[in-house]
Amino acid sequence: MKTTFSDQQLIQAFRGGGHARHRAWAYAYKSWSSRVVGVIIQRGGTREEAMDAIQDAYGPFERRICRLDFELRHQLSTYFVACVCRKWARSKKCRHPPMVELDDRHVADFAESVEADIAQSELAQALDATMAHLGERCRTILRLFMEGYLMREIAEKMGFSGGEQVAKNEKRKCQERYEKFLSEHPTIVDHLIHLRHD
Amino acid sequence: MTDPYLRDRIEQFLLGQLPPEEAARLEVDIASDPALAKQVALQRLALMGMQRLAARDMREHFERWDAEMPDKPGENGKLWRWATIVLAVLLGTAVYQYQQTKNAFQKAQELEQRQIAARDTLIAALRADYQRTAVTLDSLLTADRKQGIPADDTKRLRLELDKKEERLRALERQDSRGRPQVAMLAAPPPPRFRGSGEAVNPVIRRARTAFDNSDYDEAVQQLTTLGADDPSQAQVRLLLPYALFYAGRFNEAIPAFIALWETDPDNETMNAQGYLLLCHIAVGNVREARQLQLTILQQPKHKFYATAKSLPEL
Repeated sequence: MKTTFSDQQLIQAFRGGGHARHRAWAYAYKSWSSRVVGVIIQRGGTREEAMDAIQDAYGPFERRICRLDFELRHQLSTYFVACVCRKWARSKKCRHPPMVELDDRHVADFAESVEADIAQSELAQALDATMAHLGERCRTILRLFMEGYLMREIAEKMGFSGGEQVAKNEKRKCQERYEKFLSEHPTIVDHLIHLRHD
Repeated sequence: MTDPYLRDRIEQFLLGQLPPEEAARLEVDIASDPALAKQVALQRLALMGMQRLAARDMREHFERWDAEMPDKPGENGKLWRWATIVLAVLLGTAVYQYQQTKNAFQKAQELEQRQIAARDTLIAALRADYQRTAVTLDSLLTADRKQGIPADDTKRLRLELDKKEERLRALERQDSRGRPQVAMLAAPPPPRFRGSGEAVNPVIRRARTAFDNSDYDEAVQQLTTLGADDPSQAQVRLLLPYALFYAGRFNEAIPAFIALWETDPDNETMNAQGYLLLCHIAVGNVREARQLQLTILQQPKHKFYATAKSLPEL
């Protein structure tokens, strides 16, 4: 396992998805989490709050840096700490801004993004509840897809003999099954849309 | 079912993977086509649900990586905070103890200085008295030759003079570096003998009672009445050194503690060494005291280690 990553290597690994992304996260988490926790504790937070903020912020952070228009203006670790602190400050409705405040549009609009809304616990719980209607196999395929694994890798992991095409079909079927469930329950959809816009 | 091509385009659009021009065109279509807008909303919710699956999986990874880390982030801070508090309390206690000991020794030294000053005053007074007596004797001897003074008076005066000289010399022989107060202050509380078995000999019983009642002189007196061949001598050897020490008779306590040490080296070595050190300090035997102090300080588990360490410079 690679022991160190440069910022560009990390970004490439996140964008590449799959195993490379997994290794990059393992490195990033082990290298950065102490700093994040330290900053939040200095601002009066707790370790548990810091860990929750990391959980909430990692997804939007990753999607943000995977966007093609993302420009890295600071060290990636500093950007991550700023994103997590902003997420924590928002969750605490803190009067004081977090210590790591970057003049960066990627941080500035971080908390207002669609991804940030997903992190709202009520919406997250509602989505988890609807996802429970899918089988374990479907959930695994969709999770691997969201984790950036290639269709070939998903096929290998799931043991599909037909390879990439079968994985792609299976993923589409699972996704359509979930969408069908949602469309058959318009009240749930309305509720989710309502939560998303709150 | 929706056209697979359109589904892929919507997915790319939602994941930010669609080129900007195509994304703009799709946004226009969405704004004008309610069915398409509904499909986009559904796919958006589906993607959000899928993101939740990935997030929950990542949470498990975070927890695993967290457990793998030798120093948990944030826990060090708590540990340091507690360590600092404990250290501060310990430091405060140590400073307090140090001040208490320092004050006690200062008081003891002041007392000792006063005692030395009193002794010097006494010596000066005795010396003056001695000189006066000597002058008187001289004049009597001169008169004796001339007037025939009775020989008894001269003899009495000479005896008196000898006694005064002897007392004066005894006082002067006392080492001014002796620190009985320091020794008494540093000594542990007297041991209790009442609970150490029923004494058959009534003398021993009385001595124990006196000792436990802090009447050490009485205890010494009782113990010294027993003959050297008395069967209770073993008990005398055990009790007498302590009685002598706490009675302030340090010179006599030294051989008594040595005898105790020799009699029961397995059990009494530490006590004997500790009390001997204090006795030597009390009578001003600096060389012996230093030697014993060094011996005790070489054994951190010694019962008198802390006492030896806290003693003022010998």
